Amino acid sequence: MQQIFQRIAWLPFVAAAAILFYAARDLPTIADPNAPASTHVSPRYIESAVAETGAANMVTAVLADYRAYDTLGETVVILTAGLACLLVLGAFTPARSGPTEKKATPYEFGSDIVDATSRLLIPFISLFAFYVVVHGHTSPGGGFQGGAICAAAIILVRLVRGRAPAFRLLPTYTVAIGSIGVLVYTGTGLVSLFFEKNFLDYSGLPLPFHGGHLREMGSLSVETGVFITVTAVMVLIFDVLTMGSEE
Amino acid sequence: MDHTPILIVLVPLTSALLIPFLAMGGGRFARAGLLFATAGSLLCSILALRASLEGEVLSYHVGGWPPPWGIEIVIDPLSGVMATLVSFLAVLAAFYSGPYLSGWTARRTGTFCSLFALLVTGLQGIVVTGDLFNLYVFLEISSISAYALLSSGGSKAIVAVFRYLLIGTVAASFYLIGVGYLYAMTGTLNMADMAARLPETSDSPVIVVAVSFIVIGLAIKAALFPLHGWLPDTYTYAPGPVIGFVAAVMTKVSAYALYRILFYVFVAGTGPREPLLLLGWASVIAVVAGSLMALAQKDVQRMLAYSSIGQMGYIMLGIAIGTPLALTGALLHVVNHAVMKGCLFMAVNGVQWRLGVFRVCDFAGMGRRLPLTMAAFTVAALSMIGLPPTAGFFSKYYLALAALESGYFPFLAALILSSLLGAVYFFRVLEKVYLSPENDEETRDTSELPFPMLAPILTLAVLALLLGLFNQTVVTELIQPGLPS
Amino acid sequence: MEAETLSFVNYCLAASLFLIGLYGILARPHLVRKLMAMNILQVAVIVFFIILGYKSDATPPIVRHGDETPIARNYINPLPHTLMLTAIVVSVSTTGVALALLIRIHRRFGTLDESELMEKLK
Repeated sequence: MQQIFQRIAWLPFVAAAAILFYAARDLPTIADPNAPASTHVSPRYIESAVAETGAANMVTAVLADYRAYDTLGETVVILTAGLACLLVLGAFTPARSGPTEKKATPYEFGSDIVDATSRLLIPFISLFAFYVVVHGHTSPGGGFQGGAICAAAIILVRLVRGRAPAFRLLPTYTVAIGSIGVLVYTGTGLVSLFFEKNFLDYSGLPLPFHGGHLREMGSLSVETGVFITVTAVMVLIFDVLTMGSEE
Repeated sequence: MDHTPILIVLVPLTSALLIPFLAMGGGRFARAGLLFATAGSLLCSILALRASLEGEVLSYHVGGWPPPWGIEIVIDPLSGVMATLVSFLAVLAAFYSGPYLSGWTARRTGTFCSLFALLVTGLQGIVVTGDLFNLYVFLEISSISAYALLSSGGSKAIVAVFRYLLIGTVAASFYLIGVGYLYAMTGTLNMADMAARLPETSDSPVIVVAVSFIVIGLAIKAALFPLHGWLPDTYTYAPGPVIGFVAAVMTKVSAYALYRILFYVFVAGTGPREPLLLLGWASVIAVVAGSLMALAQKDVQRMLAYSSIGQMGYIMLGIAIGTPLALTGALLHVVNHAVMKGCLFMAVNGVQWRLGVFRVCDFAGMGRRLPLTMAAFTVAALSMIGLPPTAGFFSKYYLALAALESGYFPFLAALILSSLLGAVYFFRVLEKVYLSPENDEETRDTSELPFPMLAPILTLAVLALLLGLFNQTVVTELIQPGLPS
Repeated sequence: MEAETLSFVNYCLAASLFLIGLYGILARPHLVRKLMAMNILQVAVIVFFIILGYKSDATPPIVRHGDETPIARNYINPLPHTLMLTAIVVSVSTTGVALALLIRIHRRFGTLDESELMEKLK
């Protein structure tokens, strides 16, 4: 019985593929500038991005301004994943503090070359991460990308040096930092509520800027929140997933 | 400027962010934070509902950008009712979780409460949004927090939840690709805007495929037969306060999302017929199969899980038939079932928590040991079977009328059959509870459940009665304004 | 190849990737392989959205230096890219939680193969 099932298991998929291929004939041609997706909502994003939001990078303009609520949801998803990992795997004893002798941790490569190279690289990686966040408005980049790069730098430290370095935080505090990031995001949005504007409407922020510049500051604030959260949660997930391998 | 629409989502969200800090001061602050989150959301939902019932639909433009360029939050009577339902059950579940969490470390309590608040955020976000992609984002928020919460019940729960994770992600991906197809054809993501632009695309196979994908995706999340495989194991091993809330609410919210898309995005009746037909037949099978499988269970919680599958079949049946009478029945059943199932799961889990028993035969004599809990269980069970004047009778009545009116006699037969089966498996439990002598075990603890657990159970049982007695008011004031005009 | 056929092939590739991912989740008994197939599924959706946004002879959606009035025709549609940033993040988050669950399962049961797990759960 199981054998027969295994044999014909691919049949429904072939049928589904046939249906999907048939439907694909009716989809708008790719690269057609007159497709509904390219003529209805997006022209405003493209043409007014700089004037209305101050961002030359249209993707960031849409992400941090026009559809900032979605990005808030996305950041909350990351934070939720961090909390989820903590709840699922978090039953560890923090008393197991980092050893001060040289070996014993599974990560240390014990190689001077790797150590020296990473010492050279990590400052530049972190700096690049900040650059990516701040420059998200005029070049590809933004909070998520910068956060991932910064988390990579921190994880590199852990991979090379094990758990000893002073930068190591308990997951409780890392989660708190992640929450702070989303609080920055939500806070920026909530400030506008006090100035008679809708949530996440940056024109309500009490800063001495106007028009596109004001919105640019709002987007920057929001992207900073995202950066903090992404870094913290990526590092948190790495820590929680690798915590138990010290047994 | 009325900000209650966004506050429905923001209050639980901000509380969830603050709870890890509160937990540093102790577990009870975290629990207090959770109560504040849910109560706040309830308050805003009630205010928004009242405003929407007075006439205009509340439309909130997040970020100040008008739709379709910005994201819109829509509160009409239906989303107002759903938001109130979700937050009300959340308040009760938060209350109920007190004794359950009392033995946990402060840090674990904080993580749990924070995730619970995020679950409420996600569900409220789904209920109030007017944008298709935004729905996906909040669907994922609620799903991920649910995975974590449901897995805190032990090692069997972990395996069940992993399967749920895989299937849930498949469902979300189906939904997303359906939205992608719709976006390709209309160029917009806003529900109202899409409703305006869809008629121009006429009968394209792409729209049929898109709707099929979305229906399959949301049907998986709503545990419609035959896509229900994840539900029994997940519900059986889940911890008490979580399952009381999740079982009552999560599948209903997916059914609500499906309803929104089929009847608002596709202005009633203009959508493709084929997915609806498929949905109808699947629901009929669900109704019967769910009841049959519930009959065969020895574990009470598993029995309730299969019963839930059958009940979701009722709701989907109403949606599939699509007439105003059927939709009234379906939406009324959403409210009723949330109340009844919440009560049942909380009662059963209370017994499990207090006495460690979970099989039907072990429930012998419970009527004397835990009289109030079992009384509430009885009321909820009678409501599930569909005896007047409890709430369950009226929603089944509307559905049966709708089936009769539209001439779908197999549907009517399925309804009657499953009610009879329901009577059998519930009376089996009730008979053990009230008429059997107690097992000769050392009486570990003969007292009733603690107040924080008992109060929500009793509240829901009373509500099941009230919703039945006042069902006319409920239907005319709350449900019918929410139907598509 | 003319644009229509090329477009059709692209859509079919995305659909095939989607179905391969789905098949992997259903047919493979090992939990980690299921997880990888899930990732393929999500990537297929992402690819589908991104190919929707392309326009012929258009540049990436960043306003070129010195372009005072950008015309929509000259730039790729930024909306699918934004949406897919979110989808990628969601995919990463779900994978993270799934890995945490897998580690728990492995610690508790010692195996990650579904059939063996079913045996141990009895």
